[in-house]
Amino acid sequence: MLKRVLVANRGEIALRVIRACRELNIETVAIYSEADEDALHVNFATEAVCIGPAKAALSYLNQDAIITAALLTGCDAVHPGYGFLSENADFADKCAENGLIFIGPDGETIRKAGSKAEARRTMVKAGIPVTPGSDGAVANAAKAAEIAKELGYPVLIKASAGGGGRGIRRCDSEEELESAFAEARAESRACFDSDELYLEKLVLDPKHIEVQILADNFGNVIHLGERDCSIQRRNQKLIEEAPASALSAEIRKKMGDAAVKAAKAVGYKSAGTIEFLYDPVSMDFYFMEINTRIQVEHGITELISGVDLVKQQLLIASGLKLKLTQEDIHLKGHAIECRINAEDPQFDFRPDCGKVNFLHFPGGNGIRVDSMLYTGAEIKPYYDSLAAKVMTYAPTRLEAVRKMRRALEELTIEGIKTNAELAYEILYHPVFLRGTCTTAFLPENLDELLEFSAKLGEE
Amino acid sequence: MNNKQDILDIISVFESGNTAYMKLETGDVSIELSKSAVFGSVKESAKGDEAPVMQSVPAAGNTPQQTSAGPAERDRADTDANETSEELLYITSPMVGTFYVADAPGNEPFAPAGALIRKGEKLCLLEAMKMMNELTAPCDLIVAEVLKENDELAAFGDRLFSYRKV
Repeated sequence: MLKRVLVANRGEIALRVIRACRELNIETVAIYSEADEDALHVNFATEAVCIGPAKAALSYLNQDAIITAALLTGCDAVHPGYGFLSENADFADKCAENGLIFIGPDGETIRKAGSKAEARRTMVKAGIPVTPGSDGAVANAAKAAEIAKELGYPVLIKASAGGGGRGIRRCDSEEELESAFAEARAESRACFDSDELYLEKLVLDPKHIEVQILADNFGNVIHLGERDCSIQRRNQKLIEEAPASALSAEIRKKMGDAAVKAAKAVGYKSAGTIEFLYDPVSMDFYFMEINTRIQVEHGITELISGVDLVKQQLLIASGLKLKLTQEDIHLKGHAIECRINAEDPQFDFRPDCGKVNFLHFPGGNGIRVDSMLYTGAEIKPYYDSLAAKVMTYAPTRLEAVRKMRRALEELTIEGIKTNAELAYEILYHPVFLRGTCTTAFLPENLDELLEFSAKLGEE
Repeated sequence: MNNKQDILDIISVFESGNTAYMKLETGDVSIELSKSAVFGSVKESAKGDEAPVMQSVPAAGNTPQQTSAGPAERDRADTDANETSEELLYITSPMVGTFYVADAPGNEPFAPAGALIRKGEKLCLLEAMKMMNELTAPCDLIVAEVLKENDELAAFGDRLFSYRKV
């Protein structure tokens, strides 16, 4: 069993990992930048080491400082959380080279999954449906045009080394192709230092459905159901649900099985998520990518499955076999998460900083809140704006929705602006209630929702 | 130097002489003596002296005297009476690493308490990822206290030395 884990992250996820460690009697070492001196995770860990100034590149992304801290404090493992170095194959390798267990998949797996073109090819070989597209990289615009003709427009030209929505160009017709191709290549070169592009058919208005998997070091893989994360603004998720109520039982099973197959195909270890695009009209689903880390929204899967995913990561990293089989996984009820960010929706969601001078989290039956906030906590501008994850769990979707409305009414964070009100309004929107939100939902309805908020604010 | 009488002798020699400032380290004893203001020019202690040397600077005019001080540890302090400012300042660690006071275990520390370190001279070593990093003095200074133990973990921002500017 692991004895001491260095938590290479901050904020709510650092707290999440520390809590799981404490429940397993594993000691923890928190790392923090000068800006996070008063953060909760620093106070909850067994030990804490300041590793750099506020700037992430010099602290939370500082691989040498983090590994040095882990070695000098006698840690046997490093948990990277999400973001930061969690999907950095070099960091995973460096941990291994220094005798530290990286809690996640191998560097090689991260690397394979990180190359979108290669991941596609691996999935095709494994017989998993992928978005119709090119077989690997496309050398030039001429080839791209050929492939696009077969696929049918519109198409997406995507950077193989890409991520975070960068290096992607939509192309609606053959006339646009050459310039779109050149632009995508230029952005790919600039952002990811790579020329490699591939093509995908653009699935219009899909649902973003992802499946949670757990894999041990012995090749055992199970899935814990799916999450619907279609409510997004600029590729940033706002509201997530588990399960995806729009799916039929048949599709759900097919997706789950495909996810397990995908994880096995890349030799996956630890917790991970397989992302799919789901076309609600044709009821086809396509592999999008593998997220080789624990995700922000993992909590809603924990609520409907009763499985502690972070604890499972720690057990897997300790070299233990997965005790859970697929038959042991029973998904019950419905869970919703609203991400509460320190931002002002009325001003284009610009991040808001400040001191939280009064804090009240909702409580009661079926509520879970993961947050690093406390009264007096200061939100500084250096990192992401996630302030709290409010989750509700109930036997049915409608009850979970009503509970979330009640929870957001109770939620009080004074001192910073948040998107809580926007989330609240979405919970009354007919498209949301019908469960038919696609990734087009928020872009299409945002202006109207914001107008409504503004009017309310005027009274 | 083993007894109180020796110390008293030294004090009386100091008092009656022209010396304005004196520091003596021998065995596990360290004595620092000073009279008020300094006059005259400052003479730097010779670097890399083999013999333990204590240099003293007289009040205006006279040539410096050199006295050997027995089985003393090499005196690294410049006994020319450099005046230090009152304010106590700190050297903080610029990185996470293991703090070493010397270049090898058992060797002379680069900057023990009381040492005069010139700008750019080594203060300590910080080891991380199998690389040794030298920390050098930002200005001419006299080390007041060494705040970390040898071989201890230094986190970013940890105080390593307190010092006074010369």
